[in-house]
Amino acid sequence: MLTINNLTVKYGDKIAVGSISLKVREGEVFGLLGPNGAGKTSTLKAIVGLVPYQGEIRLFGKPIDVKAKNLIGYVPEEFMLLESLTPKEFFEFIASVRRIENVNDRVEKLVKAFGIKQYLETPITALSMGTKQKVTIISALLHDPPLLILDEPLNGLDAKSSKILKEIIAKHVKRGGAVIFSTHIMEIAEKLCDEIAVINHGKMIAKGSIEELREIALTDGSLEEIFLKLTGQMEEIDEILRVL
Amino acid sequence: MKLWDISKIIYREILFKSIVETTVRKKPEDIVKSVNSYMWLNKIVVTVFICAMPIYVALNPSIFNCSIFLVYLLFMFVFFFLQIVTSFVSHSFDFLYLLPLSQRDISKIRMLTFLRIFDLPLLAVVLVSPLAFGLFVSPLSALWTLLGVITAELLAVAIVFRLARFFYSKIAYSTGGWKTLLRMFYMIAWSVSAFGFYFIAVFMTELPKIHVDLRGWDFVFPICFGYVMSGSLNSLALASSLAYLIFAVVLFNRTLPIVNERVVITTARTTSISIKRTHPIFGILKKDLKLISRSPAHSMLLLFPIIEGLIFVKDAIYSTSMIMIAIVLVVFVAYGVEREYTKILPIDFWTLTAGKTLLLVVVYVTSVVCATVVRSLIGVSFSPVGFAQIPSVVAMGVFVALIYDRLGVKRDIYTGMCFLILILIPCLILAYTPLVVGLIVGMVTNVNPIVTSFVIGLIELLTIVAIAEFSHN
Repeated sequence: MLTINNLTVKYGDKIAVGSISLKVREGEVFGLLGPNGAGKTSTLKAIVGLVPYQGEIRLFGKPIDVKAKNLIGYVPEEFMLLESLTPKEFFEFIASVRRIENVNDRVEKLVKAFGIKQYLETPITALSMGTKQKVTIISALLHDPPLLILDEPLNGLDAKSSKILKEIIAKHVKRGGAVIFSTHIMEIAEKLCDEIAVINHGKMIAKGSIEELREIALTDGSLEEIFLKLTGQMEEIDEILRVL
Repeated sequence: MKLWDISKIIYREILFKSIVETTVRKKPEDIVKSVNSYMWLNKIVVTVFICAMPIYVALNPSIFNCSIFLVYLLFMFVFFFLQIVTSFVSHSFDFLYLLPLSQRDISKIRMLTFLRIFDLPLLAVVLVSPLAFGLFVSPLSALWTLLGVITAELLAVAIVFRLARFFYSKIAYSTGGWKTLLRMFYMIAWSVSAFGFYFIAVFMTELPKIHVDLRGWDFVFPICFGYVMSGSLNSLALASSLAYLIFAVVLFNRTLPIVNERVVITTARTTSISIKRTHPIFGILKKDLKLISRSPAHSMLLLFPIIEGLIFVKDAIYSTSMIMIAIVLVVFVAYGVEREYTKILPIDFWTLTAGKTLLLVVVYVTSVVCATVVRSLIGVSFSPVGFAQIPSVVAMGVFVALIYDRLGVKRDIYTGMCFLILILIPCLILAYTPLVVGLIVGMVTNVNPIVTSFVIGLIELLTIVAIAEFSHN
């Protein structure tokens, strides 16, 4: 579904993402893991067109143009909401621009699932962080896109909403959709992802299923252990703990 | 660390945020470097603009001119302050509360930060005005000019914070049903208050033409200062001027605690989940209207063309040309509203431009209709000149959309003054060319000037559309 070839994102002279290539297939959850500042968010931003990039990004074999943005649902790491609107007004705007059919049914189901009905007519700026995240997630799911790009989607969510989002992701890939997401929570990545890419300093250092990553990292441990070994952070932690 | 030093950190943070939002493609280090220089450039432009006034008045120091100068000064500062003040009212500056600072200290820091943003124009006018009056009138006039300018500045700060506190939550966060109507009412009240001194200044400019005698008005602000600044000293004007100065100081001091009060945002209960989907162009229009009308700084600009059209209502051509100037400010604001967000949505250049330009045309046509109705009520014959300018307004819209598409800039009028000037000049050329050519052709030949204006406007529009289409392919 999504093919990325030699993706490079630069901010001035600084290379945030250096020549990354990956493929996300239908029915697959693809996890992007990496320490802070590794280039995960920049990679996801490049896919949705928020940052300029070099290289090739194709969705269903075509470059991502304006029309193709209707095939993507994006949950950014930082809120990108129009905060003086209410969630209802915000959904109306999204529905109009995306020309979504039967939007009322869809909104009703999602609003019920995430329990935000009572906040629909409250200005977004007055909502809690968790509720803002729910509004962001609903707006990304509203048009039922085949590709979901989720940047730390569980940030601020309560246990119930986290569970619902995970179920939505599972259902989405079962129906042939695809998800690419970044997270710091290794347990979730381990549970949800079919394939994982580990990024460090803008470079992809490993890619594959969890079993394949275990082989690369030469460990039988958890994803957290694999991740720390691959990023060279295990030794750092040992050193820090020794000093402490 | 002194309060003044802390205010410098917050000042830089506010500037950084206002600029970083609009230039995401720049390197953060470059943004930090450019923040100060860009802001200084804006400050210099505003300062030159404001300081030209006292020099002119000092050369023509009548009671009228001195009074009008102070009213204009008050209006200018109120206008520029209002561009910034709502972000002060809406920002909580929470981290300040984590520091060992008293509420009063935090109020002072916020006020100092606010004044830092306007430091150069505020200081320059305090220095230039007495200097000009000292040179061209008398040393005593210079002293009274200094006091008059300080009074105007203190009043402007106090008025702006009080207006913002009163209107902010009412304009920004009233949603749904009758509250929308109420919000519209507050929006009009806010705009009228914000432009109040402008009305007074325009009204006072007209007074000498009808030979109004100012005797007996020497206790009224700013006429009392007009007397003492122009050298026409009398005891009542002198005492009144001092009284207004003391009043301004007291009002300013009492405004300090207000600076720190938090705005309470009320939540509304949801009645039904009924999402109304419209065409994308109307979706953009609706979204922009809501965003602009909920921003106190922007909403008053939305009403500016209507106000300008009505102030100069008697002459259709003059009224239309003033509406066109005000429309440039609307373009500047409307085209920058939440542009970044649209990048993740399936909105192409022309849909976005159509949505934004529709808003512009709605505001323009409303202003022209209002002026036309008032003209017919006061018995002035109908002139279609305002309607003939619609193609020019659309051309202006497409032109600015093209500029914003390339530069992606979103700023308010004060912090974006240089950018405003950059778009103001070509916009005014687009606006006035049809009017001027129409008038010249009308004088030289028998061709109706309004028809000529309309045709020239159409040519402008087609040219700009062709350029936009070419640059997008």
